[in-house]
This record gives sequence, structure tokens and C-alpha cells, in this order.
Amino acid sequence: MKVKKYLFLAPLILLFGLGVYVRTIRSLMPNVASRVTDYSGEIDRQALVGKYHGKEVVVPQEMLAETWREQHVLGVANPTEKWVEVDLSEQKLWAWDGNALFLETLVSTGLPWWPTPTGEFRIWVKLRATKMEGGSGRYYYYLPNVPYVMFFESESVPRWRGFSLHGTYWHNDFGTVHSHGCVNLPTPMAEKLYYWVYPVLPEGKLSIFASEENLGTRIVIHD
Amino acid sequence: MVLLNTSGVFLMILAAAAYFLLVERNRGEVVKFLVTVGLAGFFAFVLKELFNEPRPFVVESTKPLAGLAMLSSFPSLHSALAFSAATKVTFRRRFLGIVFLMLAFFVGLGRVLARVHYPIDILIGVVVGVSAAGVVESFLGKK
Repeated sequence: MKVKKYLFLAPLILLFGLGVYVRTIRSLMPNVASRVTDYSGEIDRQALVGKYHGKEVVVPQEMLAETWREQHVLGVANPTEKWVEVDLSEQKLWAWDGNALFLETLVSTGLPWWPTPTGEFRIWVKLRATKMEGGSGRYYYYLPNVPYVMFFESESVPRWRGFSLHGTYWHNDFGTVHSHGCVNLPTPMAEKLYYWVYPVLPEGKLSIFASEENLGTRIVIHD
Repeated sequence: MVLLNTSGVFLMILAAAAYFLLVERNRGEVVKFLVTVGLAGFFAFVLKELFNEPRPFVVESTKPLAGLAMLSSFPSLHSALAFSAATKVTFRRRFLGIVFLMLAFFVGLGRVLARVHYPIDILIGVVVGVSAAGVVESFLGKK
């Protein structure tokens, strides 16, 4: 029988078929970096343990400290002067005020399997702290009280994809890729950036959505 | 175990090629052998691109103990190459082939211990390697 002679090809054909199927499904459903349901910005003092790739992570005490402070807007008339630059190949972030450098830090962006998108974005919401969830299966993560979160969006990367700049307490790998797509900053740097970027945080508030009058800062991400 | 990683695969391929060239003195077999290894590598590479699975050390937030881990995890390219070479040798010389298959097994084991592969990646790498050898053997014909 001719068919029997080529039966050994079945596993290969099955594998390639499955590969094409998996690839198609993934391209139809793009990666969601993080899911957030609570936009209050409040610190959750009950949630002290997170989970990252099957391991438990304890939320450090510093994350729970009340460090609210007022955002000073010292006669800045033109919010478009400020912008944030992220270099994926160098794993670095710069915050620019026109030509003046406000802040420079190493970051961790998305791993090759969950890439951080490139292009021009705007911050659409700022949260003092929030619970983040993402990934699936053995890559599932759940991180309560992620500090100083700045979500960004563009026309091609809508809000539900969940990309943001934020502080980090579950690793210290800044300078190398690590995340599910977000830009991870050392927490002190995230704090500085959080009180510098727009939209301006009104007095006493823990979160703020950008609006026409309170436009979010521009973020440029490149390779 | 690290010795039986990338360098182990290279040594296996070199040794098998040397065997066909110097001991069997059969140029045709050398060509078939190289086509086998090349095809296995090509299959594994395409499958890696299709599945795009993260490496175990990524999931565990540890550092890998072996190099060549920038491609995706599934299936194992190292195992596909090693097992295609071993299978090809087995078609010609049963005993030598068994030695090669054992070496190939240790390459796979080394990749798992180095946290750059899950066991399933190795298993499918074996399937790809053996199939590639089978494809060459049945389509390029026996002499």
C-alpha cells in the first residue's frame, strides 16, 4: 500500500497543522499585557501576596505606605513639551522636558513572546496603585498593589491591551527584558515619573483619567 | 551536561559526517546526511516560529545555564538536529546508531537541566529529527 509507506509523515503534518492553527489564533487575539478592573488607585491592604509564573511574591511594606503627594505644576503652560522616550534595545527610559532631561532609568520591557509595542502613545489614566492580572496557564500572574501605574494607548494599541509604565516589586532585572509587555521601572523612578507626567493629579486624588483639558503625556517607544 | 549542549550537537554532526566520509568513503551518504540534518533544523526552526513558546527560565525568572536560547522554546532545535543525525547513522550502522541515539538523548537531557527547554520540547524535537531522517531516506531513495 502506498499510503502506509508515507504514514510516518503523519506526526510532522499534524505538528505543522497545529503550529499554523496556534499562530493564527494568536494573531487574531493579540496579547493583553495586563487586565485591570479597579481604577480607583487605592492601595489594597488586604492583598499582600501576589503570584508570578507559579511562584508567590510577597508585596513589600513600602508598596503599602501612604505616599500621596501633590503634583506641582510650576507655571508649565505647554504640556506638549514633556515627553517620555523608551528605547527597547537599550532597555532605557528618558523623560524629556523639551530638550532638558528630567529623568533617566533602566527599565524592563516585554519578552520576545509578549513584545512591548513601538510607536507613539499617550497616557490615558494614572493610578497610584492597582491590581494587575495577566498571562495564562503557567505564565499566569496576579500582582496586587502595583505602584505608580501610567497606562498608555494609541489608535493601533487600544486600552484593553493593557500596556503601561509602572513600578515593580517582583523583580530587579532592570536593563533586560522581563515583562508581559508593560514597561517595568524601579519603583522610586516610577514614583518620580508618576508625579511629573500628565494628566495632572488633582489634590487628594489617587487616580486621574486624561481628558481634553488634562491631556496625557506623549510616550515614544522605539527599538 | 553543558558540554552536551550546543558543542555536543556540533561534535555529533562532525563525527557522523567524518564517519560517512572517512570510514564509509561514500560521498552520497555524506550529502544525504547533511540534507537530513539541514531538513531537521529547518523543520524545528519553522515550528519554533509558529508556536513561539517562552523558555522555562523565563517562566521561572532564573538565568539559563546554556547558550542559544534566544529563539522560542518549542520544539528543541538541538534535539531535532541530534536525533536526525543519530537516526541517519542508525539507518546505516545499527550499533553506532545506538551510541549516537544515547548521545542525542543526553543532549536533550542537558537542555532540560540547563532550564532552556521543557521535556515536551525535547520529545517533539525527537519526533522532528526522526521524521526528517525518514523523509530523506524515503524520498532521496536507497541505493
